[in-house]
Amino acid sequence: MIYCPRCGTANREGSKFCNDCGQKLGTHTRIKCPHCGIMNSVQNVFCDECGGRLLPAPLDASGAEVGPPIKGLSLPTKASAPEEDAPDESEAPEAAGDMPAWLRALGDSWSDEPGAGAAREEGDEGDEIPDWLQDLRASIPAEEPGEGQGADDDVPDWLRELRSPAEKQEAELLAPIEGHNEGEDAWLEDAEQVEEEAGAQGPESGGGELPDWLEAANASGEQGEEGEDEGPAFYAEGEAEDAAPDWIDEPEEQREPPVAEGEGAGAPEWLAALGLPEEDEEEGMPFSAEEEADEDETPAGLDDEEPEVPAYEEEAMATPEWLVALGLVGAVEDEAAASGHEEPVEEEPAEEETLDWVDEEEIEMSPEATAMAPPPDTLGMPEAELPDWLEALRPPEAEAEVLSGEELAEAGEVPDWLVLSADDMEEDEGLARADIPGWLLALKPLELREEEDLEEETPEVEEVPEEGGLLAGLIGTLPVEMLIAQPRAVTATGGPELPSADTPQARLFAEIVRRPPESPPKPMVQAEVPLIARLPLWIIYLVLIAVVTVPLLIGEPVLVRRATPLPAEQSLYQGIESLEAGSPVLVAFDYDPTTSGEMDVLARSIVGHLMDRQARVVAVSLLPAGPATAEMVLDELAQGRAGDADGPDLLYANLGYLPGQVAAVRLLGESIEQALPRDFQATPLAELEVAAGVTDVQSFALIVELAATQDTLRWWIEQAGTPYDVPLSAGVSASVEPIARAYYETESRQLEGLIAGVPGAAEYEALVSGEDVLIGPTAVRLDAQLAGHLVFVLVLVVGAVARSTRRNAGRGQ
Amino acid sequence: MAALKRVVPTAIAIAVGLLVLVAVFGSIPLVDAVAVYLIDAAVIVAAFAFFLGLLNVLRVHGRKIREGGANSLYSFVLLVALLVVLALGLPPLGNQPSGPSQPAVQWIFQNIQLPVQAALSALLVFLMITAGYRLVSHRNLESAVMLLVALLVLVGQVAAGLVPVLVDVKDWILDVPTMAGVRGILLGVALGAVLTGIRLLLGVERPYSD
Repeated sequence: MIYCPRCGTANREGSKFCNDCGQKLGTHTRIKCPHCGIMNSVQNVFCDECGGRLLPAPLDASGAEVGPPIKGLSLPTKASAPEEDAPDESEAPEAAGDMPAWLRALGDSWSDEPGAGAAREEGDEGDEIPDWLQDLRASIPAEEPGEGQGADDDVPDWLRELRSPAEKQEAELLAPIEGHNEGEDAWLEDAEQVEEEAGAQGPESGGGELPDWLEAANASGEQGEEGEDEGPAFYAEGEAEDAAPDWIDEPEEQREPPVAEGEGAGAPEWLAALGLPEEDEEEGMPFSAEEEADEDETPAGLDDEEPEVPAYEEEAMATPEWLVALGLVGAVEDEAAASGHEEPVEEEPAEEETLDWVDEEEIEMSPEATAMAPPPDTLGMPEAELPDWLEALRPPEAEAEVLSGEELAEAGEVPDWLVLSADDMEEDEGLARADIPGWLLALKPLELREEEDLEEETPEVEEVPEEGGLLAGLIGTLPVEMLIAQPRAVTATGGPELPSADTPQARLFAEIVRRPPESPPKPMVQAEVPLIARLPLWIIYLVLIAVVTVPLLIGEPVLVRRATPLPAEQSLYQGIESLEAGSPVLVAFDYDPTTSGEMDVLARSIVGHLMDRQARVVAVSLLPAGPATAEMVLDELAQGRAGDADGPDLLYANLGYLPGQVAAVRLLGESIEQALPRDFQATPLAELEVAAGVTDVQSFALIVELAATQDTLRWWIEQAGTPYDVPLSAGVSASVEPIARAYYETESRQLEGLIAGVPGAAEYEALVSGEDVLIGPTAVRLDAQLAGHLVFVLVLVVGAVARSTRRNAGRGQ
Repeated sequence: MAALKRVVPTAIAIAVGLLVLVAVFGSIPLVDAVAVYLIDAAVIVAAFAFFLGLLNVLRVHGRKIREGGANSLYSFVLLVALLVVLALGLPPLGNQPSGPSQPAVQWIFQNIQLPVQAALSALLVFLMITAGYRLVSHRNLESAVMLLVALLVLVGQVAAGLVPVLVDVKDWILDVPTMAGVRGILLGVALGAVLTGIRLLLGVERPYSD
């Protein structure tokens, strides 16, 4: 995102102009490391590759770094006057910087105060400077200017501890800066020259503590006695002359331009950003041209957050009163090219190659802009959020110190509605994205939401363990199924949750919600869905019923289908054909009325063939409702068969239900008499002619399993067929076919034969009848099934097309 | 005492497991007889579970009727139906058999239970249509693959004798990718069953005493 320096609107990466106000945006999105050349994020202060400093840090005369306090390790630090960072001043931009643009926009629109929008980094489009900035201006002279470590006072202890090892080391490295004569770059030589010209000011002059633009003002001042403590006097608009800082009273001869003309290389970024376009052109340094020429190599922080503040420009054109009063104007204007110079001393400056990133940003700073430039902290540089790992390191007390929002509110720097009380902060200590409550996040525009935000809102699919089958007990075996099982629409939640931070808006909202109605509420009229809106659904249902019913009503196959039996079907057929008349066959009716529509067709095909072959059918079931279902089919098939004249008992025996599942099958393998001493009619097994001579599973010539679920199929294969080496065939539901095929496609043929579903039954009937086309009632059912499936497919395809078309139309609009 | 409670069930479980295992792999008549008895006991225990289930149904719905409420009527109907069927099936009426084969019970099954269950199952087609449509709305690779395979298998299932290509595609899906997955699952299940059996025999797994 590139935030507009004028209005704060967040624009897409690569945008050249603000989508909201048209302001030209910086195009640099990366910053090149001067040491290793690696491109880094604009939020980096140090290089990701070599650790080198990416942004220049000001040095005092001793070479020690006194530059801007790094408020966050990912902050694109701007040079600042180190001493004016009173805690309450530094907090304001920090808090503002933490806020995304959309939130700032919300804050501006909601706040009653005109200055509430001051949470933005820069002033609004008006002429006036935000209140917080004016407050800063007014308050700074009254403060005791810091010393070399003044800026560090604002840094929380925990952060200083984190920073200190690296920076101390860096300061040690940079201390003997005079020794950098060999191979120094031009700007570095200039910086050295400046030091020499500055003479003995050294540490006393505060040159190391003050930015160069301030030194320029210092040099052009009329008088001064001391040069140390009044660094932030540039804000002292309207101050009396006697209150002028001591450095202004320095002798004229000491106010030499600290930097050679044209060498604005070392200007701090924020200062460079203030460079007026006109002046750039006058100085022959078309900044925009450079931008276009070397987009990639220019430090992005210099452009992306370029605070082209109209308010500053206008005020810069109108010379501040305090500057006029001090008589600095003329001198400062003469030294325009020399102002605003701050040596970007590198940690380990490259000795041979020129730092191109410095050259590209040579910007002449106008003294007016320089004089009016607020300290970088108050420029509202968007201070990036601390990285998570750093947040984790933050001790509680440090956090409280950083987030003293109430003080900010008192200073008018942060709108009240954004301020959390201390108690709230204690309660919400653990919130990483602390200041934005959930109800406010809900207002975040969709286009600005990041992926993680969307992921958070994505409803999680609760994965339940499989309840049956091979995968019983496993969790999440088929996530798609869980997606289907999700409710169609998320029910509307209640009202927005009130944030723990009791903001004025939240209080007002709660008050309105709790307020009793002025008049008795009118009864809600339940909006009725018009009939026409429900029509498509009913049309689908009616069409489905019609296409399924019509073939059944016709009673004859509508389509002519050629019989193409599969090998498994042929194997089953041949296995039954090879049975001798009177051979006992065990048929397990392991289905109930729920699946009887499909399974009865299979049962009729196989058992009918068995009865035709005069086999003795002994039926059992592992399901409680199985025997009743089997009785219906068996009785129907027995009617009109060969042995019907002597009674159906000669054709089959229904032994009924056997509880115990796996154990029951195993028990049948050991002893049928022990497992089922009576049949379904309560007749003793010994009295059943069909079961004569049957003692255990091995007594049967064939076992036929009619399985609607894979579990019973496995039980019979594992506990009866394979262990006792009895031929086992199966007629299974189409849903069990994938599992059943695995047992058929084995070398040892754990399944001798297999038919599956209504199509398998139709093929089997064709085999039995010897026809080469599918005929009979099963073929009729197959036609009905085909019609239903076609409707199903059409609904899916048409629905998908309609949905896609509607979505595209919505995007087009 | 606590140790006894843990040791005794574990010892019994290990002993029974070893006996049945020996009966499977050996042919010792005494061991076989004991094994068959143990398996028969398991079947009886499973049947007794139905009786416990019956008592639980009576208790739960009896409580709902006592508490009243909107759904108590359904509980009342359920208990009445249960008791009527039980009463019809229990006593032998003349030469009529008792139990589920009793003609009145059989009539209830054929004319009430079977149509109702079949109709409920038939409603699945509407659920499937709705689920398929929703699957389309979830635009991801899994949904797309599942939908495509489902459509191919569905059409191939009913295209028997009409469009051989579709049948061949369906058979290829079932014989190659599906078969690979199923065999992997079956191997995993078998290994898991072996491991669970070993853990039970070693007393590591004690589902009966937890």
